[in-house]
Amino acid sequence: MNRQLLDGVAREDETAAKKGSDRGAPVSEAIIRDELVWASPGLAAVGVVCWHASIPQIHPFSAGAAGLVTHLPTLWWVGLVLVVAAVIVELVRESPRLGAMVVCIVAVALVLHGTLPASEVTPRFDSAYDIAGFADYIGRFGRTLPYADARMSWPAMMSATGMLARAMHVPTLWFARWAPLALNLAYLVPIKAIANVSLRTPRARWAVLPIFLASNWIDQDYFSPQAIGLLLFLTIVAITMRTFATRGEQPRIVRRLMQTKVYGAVMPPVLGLARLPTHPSPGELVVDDTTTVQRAAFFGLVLFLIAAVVVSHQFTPLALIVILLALSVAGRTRLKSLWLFVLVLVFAWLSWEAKIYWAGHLREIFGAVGSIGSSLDSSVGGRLNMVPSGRIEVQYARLAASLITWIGGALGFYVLWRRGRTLWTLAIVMVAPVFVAAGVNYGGEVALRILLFSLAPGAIFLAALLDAPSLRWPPIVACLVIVGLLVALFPVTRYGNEAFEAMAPGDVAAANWVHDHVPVGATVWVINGDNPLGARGIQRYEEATLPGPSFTSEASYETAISSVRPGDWIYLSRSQGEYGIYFQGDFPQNWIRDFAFWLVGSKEARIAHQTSTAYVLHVTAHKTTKKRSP
Amino acid sequence: MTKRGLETRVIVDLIAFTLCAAASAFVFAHTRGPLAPFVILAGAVLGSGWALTGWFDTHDAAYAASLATAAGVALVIVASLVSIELAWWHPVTVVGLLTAFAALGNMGLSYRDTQREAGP
Repeated sequence: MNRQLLDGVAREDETAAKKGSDRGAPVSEAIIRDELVWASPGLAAVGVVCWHASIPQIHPFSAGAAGLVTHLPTLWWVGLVLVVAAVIVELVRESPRLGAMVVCIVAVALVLHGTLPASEVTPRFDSAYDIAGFADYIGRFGRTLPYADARMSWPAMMSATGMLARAMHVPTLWFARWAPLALNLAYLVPIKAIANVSLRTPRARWAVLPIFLASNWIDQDYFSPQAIGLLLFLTIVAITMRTFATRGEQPRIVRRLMQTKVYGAVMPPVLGLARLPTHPSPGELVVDDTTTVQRAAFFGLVLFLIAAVVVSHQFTPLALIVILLALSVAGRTRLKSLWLFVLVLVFAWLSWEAKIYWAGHLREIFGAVGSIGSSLDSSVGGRLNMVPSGRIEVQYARLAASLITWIGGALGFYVLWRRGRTLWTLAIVMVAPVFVAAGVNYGGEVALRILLFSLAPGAIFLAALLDAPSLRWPPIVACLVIVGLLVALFPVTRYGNEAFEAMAPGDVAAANWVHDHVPVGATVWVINGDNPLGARGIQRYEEATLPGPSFTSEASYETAISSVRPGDWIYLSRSQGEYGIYFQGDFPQNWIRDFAFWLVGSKEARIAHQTSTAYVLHVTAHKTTKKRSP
Repeated sequence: MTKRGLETRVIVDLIAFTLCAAASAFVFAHTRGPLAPFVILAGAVLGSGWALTGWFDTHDAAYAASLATAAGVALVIVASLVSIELAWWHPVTVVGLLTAFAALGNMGLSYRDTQREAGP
């Protein structure tokens, strides 16, 4: 039945394409000849070899204001061009081959998302070290620390990591280095499952995957609860769209609205102006025949996955609630009350395990209710306003990549509608997370999180440009231009923060020295949070931040150490220094070294340990303290 | 389900069974080495996920794989959280038992799919 349905749909599509609204010459389907059977895997293999050869020439720890893009060698770019060419060559086939496509996609993932882990011998990003630290603590003691950090109120992903690390006899940081590559590859599986019921041609279904890889610059795929949450989120969406999908059973009020004379009078001219058919067919395919028992089993699985999401991350369940509610209102799912179940679970978890966070942060959580505009404005505008001039290009590139993804998605939706099909379920999944910004105050990252949830549907809509059995040039060119832009921007958007997000081995070695030598209960002072101390430091010592705002003169040094006491420790590292220069923006070059030398020269502290990029200082005497308490 | 689909399922069942059995053995034997962590991770996440969702008759390989991966992740998450809530924190035992039960589940799956493959 499934095959018949799919074949029938494909025939309809072919007829629609023949009538087609796309203009231009048909694309030859005989471009790929038999002798070119190894062309795409061969290109991908050569691309990976070039990429691998380029890795020793990449030095993330010397990245500048624009990140790593200016340090990427020619060989890396050759590798990127070759793997992208391999994907294009394979996609010229009407039915791309499974093995060749997998090789090409893994090659693209390796070049785009494997460059940082391959070129940095230590895991990157301070938050990954914090998560590893929480997981390490739970792994050792089997309990959480909700008072220590808000993230500990949603500890499940970290407890799972701690448990696995203990059973595997590895440190929790073991998971962090290659996590972005592994997770991006893992995301592709549910995305392919969604694409298989959204698009009709094998070419378009495969095209979704490299498009997603090229558009995912957001850097939320480091080893973290939100990264694991996204994997579960995509699977829940896949189940909702496949096993529990319905089409067009809108609530009565919506149906009545659509039957009114006003709607009937207004909509056809509007659609006519946009050259869209008035009665498009629902684009989602129903391919899974299920019995009641199977649906019950799937329902149980959905509930299980939702429970895992709710206890792991605070934001992902909110996106799920909004999407499930929107799908329910629009009549796109049989699970009409599932959003309510998620909502109840969220409040249950807040009231039970996360009550410490809940009690202290009620205003912070719901302070932004109803203010989508200000939430997004503070998130996007704030990021553009607060950066030093050298990094503004990176922020604009990110804004451009986000707009390209959204505009490309909208174009795909429009082209598909012109072909006589609509994908309303996917459109809802893409747009609905925006409304999460109206419900919660999630700080400066809310726009990034919303975009993260939109990437998968955006990639499917972009690939929809290629979703016709007989393709014409205009949609192909549009798709190539959009994806080309995303790929070209990727090294700027993804590697743009590498100056301060890379953790040099010297920084990590000094942090390890702190863990091994600083006595329990001591105070360790840092300049800012961009450091790897979190990996093992939870509850061992108190981490405190030296007061700023700047470190440019002796007077500012005095101010900075005004709260430091004899016996305290100061940890100064390259990543903190680069963060000060490129993110906080008012620090001179080499300021970390100057500050350390001033501390030593003025007999405030002695260097207890030094690596190639970091200093650990032990405060011996403190003039300011002496003056205050003679 | 087609004959080829059933053949593929049997192969996947056997791989999952082997992974889970090896992972369980590695965990209980406290094996350290370059390969052991990968086997344990794959067994605990992918193997246990397949043991749970392999019973669903899904025709699409991507859908089946995404269900298994997500279910495996969720299983490990829930198992660890339950351990914390019960104040019974024995990571080695829990992961070892999880993979051992998953190996049994995968064995049952391979038996079922072999029977179906041999059937009319």
